[in-house]
Amino acid sequence: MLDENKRAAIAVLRRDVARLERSALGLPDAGPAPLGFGAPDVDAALGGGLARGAVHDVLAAAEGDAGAVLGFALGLAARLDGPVLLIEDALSRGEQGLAHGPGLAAMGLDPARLLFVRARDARDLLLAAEEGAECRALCAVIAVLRGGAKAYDLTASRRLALAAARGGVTLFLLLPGLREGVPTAAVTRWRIAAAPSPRPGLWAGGVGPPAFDADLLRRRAGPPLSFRLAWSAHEHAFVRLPLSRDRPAASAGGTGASRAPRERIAAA
Amino acid sequence: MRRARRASGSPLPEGAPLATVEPVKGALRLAALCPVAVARGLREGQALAEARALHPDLLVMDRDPRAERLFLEGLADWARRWTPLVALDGERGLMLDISGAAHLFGGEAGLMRDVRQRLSAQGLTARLALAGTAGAAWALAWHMEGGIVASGAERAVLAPLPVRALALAPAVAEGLTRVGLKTIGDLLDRPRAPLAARFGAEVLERLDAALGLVRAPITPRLPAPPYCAERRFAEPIGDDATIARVSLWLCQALARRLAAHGEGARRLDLTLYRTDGTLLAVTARAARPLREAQAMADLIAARLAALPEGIDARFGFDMMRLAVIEAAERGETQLGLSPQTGDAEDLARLADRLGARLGVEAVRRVMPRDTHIPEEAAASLPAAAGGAPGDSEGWRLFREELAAPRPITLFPSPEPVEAIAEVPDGPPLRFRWRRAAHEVARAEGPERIAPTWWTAPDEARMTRDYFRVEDHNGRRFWLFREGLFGLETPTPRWFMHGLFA
Repeated sequence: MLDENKRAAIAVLRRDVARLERSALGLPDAGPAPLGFGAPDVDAALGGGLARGAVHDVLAAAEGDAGAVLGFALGLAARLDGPVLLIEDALSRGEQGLAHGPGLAAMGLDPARLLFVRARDARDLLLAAEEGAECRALCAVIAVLRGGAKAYDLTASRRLALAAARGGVTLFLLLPGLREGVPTAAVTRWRIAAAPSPRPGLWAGGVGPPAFDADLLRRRAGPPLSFRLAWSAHEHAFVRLPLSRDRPAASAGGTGASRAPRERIAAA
Repeated sequence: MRRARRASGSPLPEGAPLATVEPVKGALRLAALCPVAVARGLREGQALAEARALHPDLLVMDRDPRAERLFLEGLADWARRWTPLVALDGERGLMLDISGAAHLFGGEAGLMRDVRQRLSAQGLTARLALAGTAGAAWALAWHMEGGIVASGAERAVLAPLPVRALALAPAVAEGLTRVGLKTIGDLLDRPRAPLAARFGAEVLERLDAALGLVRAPITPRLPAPPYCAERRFAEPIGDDATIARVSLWLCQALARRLAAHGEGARRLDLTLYRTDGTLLAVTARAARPLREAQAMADLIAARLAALPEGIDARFGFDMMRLAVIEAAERGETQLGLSPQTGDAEDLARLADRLGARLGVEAVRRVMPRDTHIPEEAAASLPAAAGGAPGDSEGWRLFREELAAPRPITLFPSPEPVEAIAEVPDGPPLRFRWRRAAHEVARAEGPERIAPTWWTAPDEARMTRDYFRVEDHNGRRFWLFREGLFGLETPTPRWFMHGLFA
């Protein structure tokens, strides 16, 4: 295990390399402030939040978690100001339905901010995502890729990452059909599961606000993390919820133990 | 002075005598003839039996008016290479208004030569006439051997022609002939009032129009675009880079003229004319009036890139025309006036580019609608239509008026679900959807949504009770039970309509 000093030194070197990469590409030196979740300890753990002008992969813990995956990305986009491009492929329309304006409004994301794209296939979706990522007027691109997710490989993700860096647009690539992804150029990879509503008291026994078990499987620096989060539409922020029982962090490799939290909660 | 040119033609293969036939008054008669058949002395309207007797080797095909029509329309669109104003003339002719276009081809004679060459390159026989009025050109093409009528010579040229050459109704022409007025010349010096009284005003109108005494514009098949730029190539071009360069050049030409008129392009049509007489056309739409050459060129490039088979030049293109089909008023570009304006502009461009690549229907915005029917609460409109701006205020009100939460995704059509409820009008206890069983841990509802009374009764839409349920894994669904138990139906059915986060 690396000690603290070495880890800090590596972080500095990584930052230097990133800066050199950016200047080689002719990009502005300092990126925008990271996109925080609004929950202080979560943001602290992430060094401020998610990098903007970069790609973030979001996978689903199970087939039924597609709604949670989309909700997680919508919440993050709602925390930004500006237009959002939401791209859905043809398969996702059948599998999980199309994004519904009133539902987005209910989450606190003004549908007037959204431009919707209905992509036929992965090729169209990646093309639209790249166009969107380069458009400085946008703050975020959310792409829901279900059909032909294989097309989103290291090369494709690198293209998107470069486009996102050029445009300063934060790109969320949602892969609700995938449990494990292939290596990509995304700066973080999340795996999202729906989380049960907190115990009665706060929400009087009914269905609570959107809640997520978010596993950060991969990031540039640091070990994997796990949070249980709820989305507060009024505060436009995520709220950290206590994990029920001793829920272990997802393993770095994303194998074996990664499916455990789902079943554990189901049995609780 | 207006100049009109007329071409009449039908596609006929070479070889043995060939004719198309159609039934006229119970007998098959020749409708169209190939040059060989004409040379053998056959003529239109001749009975097939007679023609066969004279020429046993005559090949005969049934006339296909629909195919002829399609062919003529295709020819009309192709003829727009000479002028945007092309009209169909009956079933067998085209009328081109070439005002101001002849100089591009080295004058009227040069234009005629070009038309003749290109038509014969396609295997078409045509009789061409060019005159100062559409009527004179028509008369010349149909009743003489065609040719060019010098300006002011219409009277002299028309005088010896039969009155039929004025394109009069057959009954009128017959009536004139019967009283001894056989040629146009016979009409010219007659007192006008009695002529009009006896044979109708049409005779004088046609006469005046043919002589150029009154203006009689042709009715083009496609309207003339407000702005149009074109480029012809001595050597056919075909490679993408050249096409892109020319397209940018055309955009620059249009941009200057749009700017001069304070307008922007809402719809652009690029037409590439192939040397073989076919054409390739793409249409690009802009959400906001466009005037920047580069932005227009980008849009066109995106449209060309979206062609499924790429740019199929075949033997090359010898002309490109870019036309603004729809223009709209647009103020000066506000450079850096406010970041918002620039962003809105960029966003509109993005919508245009995506629309050009993926199809206009693929890029959409949603507008709130004043209805409680979930499927209709959000109108999804193509962004490029320009009629779908962001309506933040509308959504704010919508959200305030919403009694219950709404799902973040909605299924295009609700999916049947097997559900078990404790009481007939209560929430489900468990349900099975897509072969997976779900235990309901929590439920909210019902939110009763009644069908609007004005929907057609035969639609037989029933009341829906919506429930927001959470299963044992924390996943949230929007389920509804269709039909009020005992009142509307004895067996209410359950459906899945959407997902919550």
